[in-house]
This record gives sequence, C-alpha cells and structure tokens, in this order.
Amino acid sequence: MEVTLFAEKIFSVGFFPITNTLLTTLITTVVLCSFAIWASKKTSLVPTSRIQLASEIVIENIFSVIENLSDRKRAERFFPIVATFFIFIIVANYLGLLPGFNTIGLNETHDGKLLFVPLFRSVNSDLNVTLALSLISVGMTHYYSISSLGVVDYLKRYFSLNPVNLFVGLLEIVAEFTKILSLSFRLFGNIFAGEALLVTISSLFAFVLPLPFLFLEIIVGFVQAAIFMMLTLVFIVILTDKHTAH
Amino acid sequence: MEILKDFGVQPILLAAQIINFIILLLVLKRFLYKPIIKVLEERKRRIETSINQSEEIQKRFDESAKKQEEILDKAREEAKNIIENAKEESNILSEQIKTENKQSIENAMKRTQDSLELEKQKMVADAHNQIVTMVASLTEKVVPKTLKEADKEKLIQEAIKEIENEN
Repeated sequence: MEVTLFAEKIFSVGFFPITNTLLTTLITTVVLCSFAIWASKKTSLVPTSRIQLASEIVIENIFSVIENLSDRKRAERFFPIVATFFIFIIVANYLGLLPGFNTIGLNETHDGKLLFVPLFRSVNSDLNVTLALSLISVGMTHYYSISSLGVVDYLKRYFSLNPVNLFVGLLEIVAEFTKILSLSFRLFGNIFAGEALLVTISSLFAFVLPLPFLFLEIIVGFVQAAIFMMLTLVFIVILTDKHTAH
Repeated sequence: MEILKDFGVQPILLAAQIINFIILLLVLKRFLYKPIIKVLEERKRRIETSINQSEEIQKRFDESAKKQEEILDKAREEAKNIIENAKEESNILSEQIKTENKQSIENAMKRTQDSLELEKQKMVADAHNQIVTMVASLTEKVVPKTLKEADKEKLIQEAIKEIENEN
C-alpha cells in the first residue's frame, strides 16, 4: 500500500471526475457550513453556548493578529478571507488524521493491475486543492491591492521608467508567480509527506507505533494552516500598504 | 506544465476546488464571522459604556461626598455663629434688663420718697393750721374780751409769727 502523488478518481459524474480529495473537501465544507449555521443560531450577547465561545476565541485571535499587522479598517476587510484560509486548512488537515483516511477504499483493476483506491484522502495532499487555495490567495491579494491603491499606484509597483525600479518591478512580477508555487507546494508537500509517512508507518506496524507521528501531524497541520494564513495576510498587507507603494 | 500533470492537476478539479472554497468563504462570512464579530463589537461597546458609566457614577459620588462635607462644614460654622450671637444677645439683654430694673427700682424709690415728702409737707401744713387755730382759740380765751377787734387780730398775727420763727 502506498500513497500516490495525485488524488485517485473514485467515480465520475458524466465527464466530471470525483476524486477522493474532492469528496473529503466536500465533507470538510459541509462540516464547516453546518457548524457555522449552528453557531449563528446560538449567538447571544452573553455567551452561554460552548460553540459560541469556541468560535469567539478563534475569530477574536485571528482578528487581533490581522489588526496588529495592519489596522482596524483593513482588518475588517481582510478578515473573512484570511480566517477562512486558516479554518479550512486546519479542519481539513485534522480531518485527514481521522481513522478511515487512506485505509477504507476500493480495489480496482487499472491497466490490468489491482490497485487500492482509498475513499478518503487528506484534502491538502492534493495539489489541485493547494493550488486553488494559493491562486485565490494571490488573486485576492492583487484584488485588494488594486481596490485600495488604485490601478495607477498598483501598476507603479511593477512598471517604472527608472531602469533600476523597472528591474525591481520585473523581480516583483516573478515573485508574484513564485508566491503561487511556494504557497501551494509548501502546503501540499507537508501534508502529503505526513500522509505518506503515516501510511508507511501503519503498514509497518499499525498499533501504537504511528502515535508519535500522529502527534507530529497535529502540530504540522496547525503550523501549515497558520503559515498559509500569515503569508497571505502579510502579502495582502504589504501590497495594500500606501507607504511601500513606489 | 508537464509537472502539474504529474501531480494530478486537472483544470476542472482546480475550478471545483476554487468554487468550493468561495462557497465556504461566503457561508462562513454570512453565518459565522458576521454574527460573532457583531456580538464581540456589541459586547465591547457595552463594556466600554458600562465602565464609563461606573467611572461617572464614582466621580459624581465623590463630588457629592465633597459637597456634603462642605455643607456640613458650613452648617457647623453657622451653628457656631448662631450660638455666639445668641450668647452676645443674651448678655446684652441681661445687661439691659439689669439697668431697666435698677431704673425702675430707682423710680419707685423716688416716687415713694416724693410721696413721703408730700405727706410730710401735708402733715406739716396740717399741723401748722391746727396750731394756728389752737393758738387763736387760746389767745381768745386768755386775752380779755375787751380788746378791740383790731388788736386781737394784731396779737394773733404776732403770735403766729413768733411760732413760725421758732419753726
């Protein structure tokens, strides 16, 4: 049993392939959406439900992080996207640690060979997901940059008549593309490696032995979510900062 | 882009993930972030106002305590003044009463003295008259009836004069 680099297709709806990561993504989305709707019904000024307390702690902490890096007005604007990155990634990562992931699956014959196709696969161990996330991250960064600085100031960052600044601008353009790659591959690499590690250790000896690695993965899951959130936040703050605009 | 294919990146899956994430973002924003942030803001506002109010109340309380103390001090001062004034007035009054009493006693004494004097004078006059009549009658008896009317009169007058001179 081994983990493939790409997410396996379970079945197709018409031409649309349903992979195991797409399935777990949908599960994560449904879990989070139902949590949000449940929480929204119980909000009160004096918090009595634990669900409200928990969401308050998470939201307040993320909000204060954003506010410390920018200001109150920008924090209110960036908060939804930044917080959603963190919450989605950490929930997806922890969901991937549940028993059943990579172990429950179907045996399929593929090109004459018998293959094991797991039904559930950790969401972020699919480059489709992480690439989508980083595209949204970078896309939103530029959207915020344009909307808060204006098109002229936004373009001044990359194009200039001054040859030195023109070269710097060129580097900035390259940096924007490396952002997409680094964000997506960092997250994908970490989670995929963890997945592969857990599967390998479990195939060696499935009792007790994977426990330390599970704890490691718990840390990695949090750290990766935090890194993705912080990087997105920092990029957004830098690109919307009026002082750094040349 | 060969490398992306190795990693199983398919445009349709990528689009599905992006749409999925956007839906999640909208749902969380609508149902989780907005209500919770609203509640947090509202609570913060309430706490701020209640802290301000309690500070205000404390300030007012201090002020009123100070005022109370001032009023008490004033009242004490006034009471002291009133007592002092009353003392002074009572002293003056008693002095007045004393002098008045003295005067009235003096008056009364004077009046009694006066009346006594009058009485005395009256008595003296009475006595004088009585003596005169007595002398007249005596002389009439002693002196012979032959004496002329004019001489009688002259004698009586002399006698009275003598008596008066003796007085």
